[in-house]
Amino acid sequence: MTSRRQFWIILFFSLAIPSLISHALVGWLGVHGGGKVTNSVSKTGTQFQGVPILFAGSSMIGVALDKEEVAQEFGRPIYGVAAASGSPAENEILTAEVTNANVLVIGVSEYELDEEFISDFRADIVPIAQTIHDLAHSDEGWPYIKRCLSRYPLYYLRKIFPTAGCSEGVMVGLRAKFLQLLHPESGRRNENLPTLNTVSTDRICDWPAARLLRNLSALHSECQDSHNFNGPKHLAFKRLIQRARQQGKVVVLVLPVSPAYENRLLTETDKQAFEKSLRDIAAFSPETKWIRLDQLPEFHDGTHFSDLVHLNNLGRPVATKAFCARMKNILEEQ
Amino acid sequence: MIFTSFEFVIFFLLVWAIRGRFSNFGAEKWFLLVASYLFYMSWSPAYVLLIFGTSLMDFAVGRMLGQIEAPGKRKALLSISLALNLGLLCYFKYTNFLAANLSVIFGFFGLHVAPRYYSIILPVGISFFTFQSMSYTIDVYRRKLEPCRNVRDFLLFVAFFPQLEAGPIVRASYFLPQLRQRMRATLPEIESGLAQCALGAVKKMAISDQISPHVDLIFADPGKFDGLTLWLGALGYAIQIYCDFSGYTDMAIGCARILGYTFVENFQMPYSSVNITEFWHRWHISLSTWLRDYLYIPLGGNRKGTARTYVNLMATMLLGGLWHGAGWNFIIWGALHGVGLVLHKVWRAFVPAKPGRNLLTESLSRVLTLGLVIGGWIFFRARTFGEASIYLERMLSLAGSGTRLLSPQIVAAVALVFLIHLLVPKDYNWAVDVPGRTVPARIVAYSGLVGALVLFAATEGAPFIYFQF
Repeated sequence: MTSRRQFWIILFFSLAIPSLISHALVGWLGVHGGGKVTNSVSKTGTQFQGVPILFAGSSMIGVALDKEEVAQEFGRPIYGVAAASGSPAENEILTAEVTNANVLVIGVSEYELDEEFISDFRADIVPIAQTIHDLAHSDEGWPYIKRCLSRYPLYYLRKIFPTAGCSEGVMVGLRAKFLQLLHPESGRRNENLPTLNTVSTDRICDWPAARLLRNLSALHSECQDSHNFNGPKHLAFKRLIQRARQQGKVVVLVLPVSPAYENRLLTETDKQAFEKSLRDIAAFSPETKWIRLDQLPEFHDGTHFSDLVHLNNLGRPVATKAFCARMKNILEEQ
Repeated sequence: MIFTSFEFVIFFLLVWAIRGRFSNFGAEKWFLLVASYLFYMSWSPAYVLLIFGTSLMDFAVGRMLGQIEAPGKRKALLSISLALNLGLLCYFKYTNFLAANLSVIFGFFGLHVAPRYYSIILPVGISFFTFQSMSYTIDVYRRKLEPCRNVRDFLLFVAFFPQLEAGPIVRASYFLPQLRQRMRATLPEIESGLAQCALGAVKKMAISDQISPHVDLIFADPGKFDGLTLWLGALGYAIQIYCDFSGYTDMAIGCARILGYTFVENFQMPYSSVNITEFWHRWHISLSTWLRDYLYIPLGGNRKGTARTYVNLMATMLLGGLWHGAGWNFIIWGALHGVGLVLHKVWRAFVPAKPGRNLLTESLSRVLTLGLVIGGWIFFRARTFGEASIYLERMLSLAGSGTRLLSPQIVAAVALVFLIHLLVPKDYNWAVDVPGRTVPARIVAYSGLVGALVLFAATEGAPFIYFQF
């Protein structure tokens, strides 16, 4: 065999074998690989007639609200679009698929609106031209621009290696499998990545200190210890509201984050910057309605959260009840 | 631009592809030089003038040293080169450190002088390219090297992008002859280069970047964690810095090899050393040999008696520590290693090495050496001397109070790296050996590396540690 042929054979198999393993592990470990986490619009309460209410957000809104209960309360179908770690940047694209809803509820929070947290699925959903446009029209520095744009080659790399950039999911999945082997009767542990709608029974206040520190450290590392609420996501938020206003009512649902997130990840300056970004949206679109679940006193302790940002089985009914009460008033307004 | 980024992959592919198109050798080298400057400008456009200016000056000094015979004038020329290079290094790196310490010294004499802080941005790689350039002028002065006649070749020697930002510190006597020949990598060399790049990427992205957040967490507040966690943190940092720096160097050497150039290895299984002297033959080899040839030996080396040898060793290691950073913790790190080297020499003077291998004494030596190295890393990593002291005190006393954070990533990384150091022969060069194996063996080896990357590489990478030096 010539050395050239040898070289190409070795190169081919050195890439093909890991690719096969990567594809196999995505399914076996349940890792969020490439592609939208949801490819379709979720529909709840389809037994009801009437114009649907559309919910847009990330797993945070999916976990926070019991959509069956909301559908029952208002006698209307509830449609949902979501992306893991999604923000208005992704929601702007996803909501364009739904044209028959006359109320849009956008779930946002200090996590989702933080520009420094870039969704793994950004490149799957938001066209690169849109991202470049928004980066050009915001004041982001070159390091952030590189971080954001690097999601796009990663998207293509994931066609060959779906686990690329998903090391946390791989390690959590391997750990769950290993624990299953040791204790087959216990089932899958709760310390795993949440799916879009699954509500957990964990309570962050019960976490050992080490686990909390590890999770906080992972977020610190992900956002590179900085927070910003005025960038591409903010621009997309405005466009999303502007378009949705043409179809009907827009409700911004501000979701709570855990006290640990609030107090140990964000400074006072960061929190003020978040509030400023919300005020900017309110000034941009005065007709938009606001539901501030983050200001409910029940969410100021850790019992209602399963992790740093998601509500648990105790928090969900509180959030759903409060949401329905406020939403009723909004829908009754002409 | 860091080696593990998409933009570097695109940049490197473009350089490799375009460079092969030049029929004119001179034009090809100009292209490599421009590419290298563009690479540096991706960090800071303005500072490329710094590297250009110092290189030009050292080239001129070299040419003049080749023409002038008078010893006084030759010494003056060398002094100009050293003064400029060291002056720039001192200005960018040590101004604030000197200002703060001068304030303390004045305070001892009852003079209250408020410390001033100057906003000076450290140019990436300044510690490396100044040392590289100085080695050239010193070698020309000593008549060990003929002056370089081509300014483009010299500029490229200093600025060649694979080694520009964090070494290895390449000697002119080694690299300039390569630049004079038209180097093209053969397919086996390209395979070897790719293999070494992949190995470096695994060390950096799948090991160092994975454990970095956990290590940072522990070192950020050592008083919060118990003794076992602190031990894990210290071991974790030892692995992190090794994988980060040797991973970077592997990628630098691999990239150079793909382009047809050979660099000397910079790390050789340092944690398998049986004594501290051996450690410095295996850790950051290009720096330790530079310090040996341009500091330790000119100071007298071991030729001026035992006491002077020890003084020379200490001075070399103290300055070596200071080279890493402007801080007392780096000086203390250097001092620890200096004391270790001196003690090893004293030991050898009283207890000569015996032929044959004694597993017990060798194991004990390894443990002692690792202990010294890891203890030194605590000072190297801690932000202040106070924090390092707290860390060491709680670690050595196995403090029971505090949070226990047993990071599985750190445990796995420590186990993997130390196991490799234990089982693999010390002088084994993976990137040279594996390409010589059978096709199935190579496929298994390379698939393993690519697999490790796609499964375990951290998405958000930490900056290379040695970029701060």
